[in-house]
Amino acid sequence: MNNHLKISFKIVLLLVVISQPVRSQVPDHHLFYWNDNRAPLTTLDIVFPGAGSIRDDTSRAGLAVTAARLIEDYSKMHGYAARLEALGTELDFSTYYEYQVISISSLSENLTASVRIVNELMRGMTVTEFGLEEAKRNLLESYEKTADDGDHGLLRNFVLSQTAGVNRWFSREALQQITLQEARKNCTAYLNADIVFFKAISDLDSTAIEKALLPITENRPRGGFVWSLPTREDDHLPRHSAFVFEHYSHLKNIICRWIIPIGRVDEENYIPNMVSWALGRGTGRGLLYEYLRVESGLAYGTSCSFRREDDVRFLDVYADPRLENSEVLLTKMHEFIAGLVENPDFWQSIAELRNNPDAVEAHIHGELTPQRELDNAVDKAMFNYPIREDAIRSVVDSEIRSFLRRYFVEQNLVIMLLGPKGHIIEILEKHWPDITIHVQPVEKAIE
Amino acid sequence: MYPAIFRVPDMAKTSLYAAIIFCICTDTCLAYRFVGSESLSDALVAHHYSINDRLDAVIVVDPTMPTFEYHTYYAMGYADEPEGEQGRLHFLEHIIAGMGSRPSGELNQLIMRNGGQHLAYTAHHMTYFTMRFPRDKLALAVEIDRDRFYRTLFDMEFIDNEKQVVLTELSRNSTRSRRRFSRQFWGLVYGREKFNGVGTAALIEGIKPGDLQQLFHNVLRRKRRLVVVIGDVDEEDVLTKLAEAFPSRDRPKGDRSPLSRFPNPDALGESFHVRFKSQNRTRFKKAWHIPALGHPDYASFRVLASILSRPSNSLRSSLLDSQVVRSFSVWASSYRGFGFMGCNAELVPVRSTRAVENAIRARLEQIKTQGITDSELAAGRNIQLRHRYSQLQDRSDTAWGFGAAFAGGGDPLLYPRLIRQIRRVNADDIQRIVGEHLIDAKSITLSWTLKEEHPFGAQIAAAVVLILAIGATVFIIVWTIRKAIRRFTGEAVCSEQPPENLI
Repeated sequence: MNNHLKISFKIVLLLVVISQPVRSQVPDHHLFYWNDNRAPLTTLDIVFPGAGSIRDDTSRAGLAVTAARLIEDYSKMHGYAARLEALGTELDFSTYYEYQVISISSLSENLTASVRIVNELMRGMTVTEFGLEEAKRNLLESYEKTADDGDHGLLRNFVLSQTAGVNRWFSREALQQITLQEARKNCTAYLNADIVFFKAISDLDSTAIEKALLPITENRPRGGFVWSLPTREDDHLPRHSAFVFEHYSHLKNIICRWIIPIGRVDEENYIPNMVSWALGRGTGRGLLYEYLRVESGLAYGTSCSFRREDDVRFLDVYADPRLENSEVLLTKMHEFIAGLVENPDFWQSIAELRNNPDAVEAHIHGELTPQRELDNAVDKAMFNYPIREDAIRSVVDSEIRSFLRRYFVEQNLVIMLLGPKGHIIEILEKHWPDITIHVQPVEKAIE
Repeated sequence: MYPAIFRVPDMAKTSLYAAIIFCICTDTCLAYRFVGSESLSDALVAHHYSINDRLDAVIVVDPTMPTFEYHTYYAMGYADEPEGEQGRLHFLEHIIAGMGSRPSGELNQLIMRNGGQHLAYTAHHMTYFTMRFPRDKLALAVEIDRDRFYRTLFDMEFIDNEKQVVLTELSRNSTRSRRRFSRQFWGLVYGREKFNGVGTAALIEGIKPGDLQQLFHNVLRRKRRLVVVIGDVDEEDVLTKLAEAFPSRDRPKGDRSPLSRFPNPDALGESFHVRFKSQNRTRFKKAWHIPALGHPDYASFRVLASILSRPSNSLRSSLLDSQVVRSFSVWASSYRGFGFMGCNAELVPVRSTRAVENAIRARLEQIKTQGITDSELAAGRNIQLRHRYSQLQDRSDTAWGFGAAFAGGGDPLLYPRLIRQIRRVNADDIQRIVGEHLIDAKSITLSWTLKEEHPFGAQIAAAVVLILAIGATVFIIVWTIRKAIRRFTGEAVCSEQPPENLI
């Protein structure tokens, strides 16, 4: 593992916080702050590093999600949610791989009152047998609905768990096994995490935010989860495989996703960013849009997103051809991905990204919203991934070539397909006889 | 810091600024006219101008990010197309957005190379085109808009390619039951047998360049347009460029899209139930005809929708907690000349949606007779205010608000005014609007459920089977007995026959 990563989070965070253009500090805690005076609103994230699903044992997939659900249910059952709603405040709970987040979105005039209520919730939270059973029931219902809706995120998580070793978001079987003691322990460790930091976007100034946060920061109990960076040792290539999900025979299009794992979360992001922008990150743009929509009319929607699941990064390429165009599109896409390293249009796009200031601006201006700026600052602080002074301008073609030769290869290509099963399998077997085909019912994603 | 006497309040600043611009314009160019302004928040103000007889503009200077949004709204959508012709406008939107006067694909590349993004949509009563550029590309954005308006080409090759794209979009949408359900509902509202903004495959395949040219030049271009520019721009620069690009003398003559009334009054008070032999969801929608955006009561409906659908202690939470529904939402929206407030529910497959309807009825009756609590009112108001303010943090959403208000109500600044109206809503308003408007006679109900079998069908079938079984058993018993008797009596007869030798 990179030596940089061994620096403790506290030190890294402190260093980065000091280098932030707009920052503030609350006693023993950190506040990442961004001013946005366009509306009298405050969005405040309370982040609990170390409390995410990274702690979930394989046999307990979903424990972190259960903890978040327990707190959410508790807030509803004990009147905290209703008190917040009367203020117009929205309370939200999210579970990430490395951390848990409690989000407050409030009219700025009601921020102090809202934070006070959330603090009461955090300190008063208890886990009961009834509460756990309710949380399990609610979670199961919610995931059954998600699976039933064919949620691409859930299906993608399942595919990556089978091919790239990421943790499952949720498992019905694991959920049943979570005991009251485990749930209690996890909730306590979550709310008493060793480090807690805050992300705020507000029209209020940072001093006002700090003041509002005092109830949480003063005498906050600690001794819970401790932050550490993910420690995955290798990023093996999955086999060339396809996951065909059942129950989509009625579709007249095939929803295709090519999932290309591209290494760990602690590596620098310049090259995958450039590749995804060139291919088609964002709406209505990029080479995929040009080839598959403007030139051939083979697809309506196309995209190439740069994502991460746990500590695995991947590119997620999307297209939605009609049945009659699906064979052509699937083969074209396969050729396109395999031949990208030799594609002159691709290199021209890369050159434009690197050299044309307008184009560079184009590819970052979606990233310039206060929320994105703040998220990027926090990500840099948490993951300490390498930063180049000249950013993408300093990335040379040979680096991109080597990236493509490593990851844009058949054995690293996992395809997720939703549509008429027979039609899809026929195409796959005809063109890629060696591909491993997994036919799965959608429910498998939550079993 | 100025002494207090010289400090100018924000609203006053806005008016002063607008007045100065108005004077400058009146004296120097007369190319555009100041119409009005509205404060969105302490930091943002919307200024409304008339550029020419057919073109209005709303400008909001927001330096938060070094970019700007440029949106163009035409006050015509697919609900305004005649029966059987729906889909042409949406197809035209694809051509205008992708083509302009340049060879196929070049417009897209031009926008990309200059750091831009672009999208286009067709809605019920508006068709709109959005662009986002770095702040120094204002001239390019105006030029693209001008090029699309005056010089869009109807190239056969591009049209053929776009037919494939739209057919893909159509086939994608056709299998989504939520969309089909929604289309049926809006078909009832607009009195159309088939209501689909994307059209049918036959219509798309049959589209000819001449049809599109006719629709563009003789219909769409004659509608009123609104350009919204929000971002890091100089307001005067925007106005000058718009006035140059769209001079008054070039305006096409035509209608001014008068506001319409409720399109299909016959549907009000009716319930429509569609039953399927098998389906994976039961869907239910009940919506009431309410006044449109701009009416003083509209804000009260928005607040009421928030009260009924908040996460806890609400109609929604009770239906979800009791597991009657899988999902439930309450909404209030405005269209051209009318509004709707509605409830949408999705259930596991069942034969009746009565439980949902009864719960809605009971809650509304309770509000009508007992009113709402202070806490409910505060929640509804605050939730709405937060939603409205959140919109200001997203330039596209803010621009859309101006466009929708312009296309639906003729005044782009109606949405910002809603914030003030929401603050003034009180408990009596809520009680009153429920009694006046949320009544069956003003509602349309649509449900998709499982096909109901005859209530006694199963019992009758069982009785028939039972009778047949008893009959068969009796027959067998009788037949067996008779056979046995015959055998017995037959033997006796035989024995009674005289021996042959005796004869």
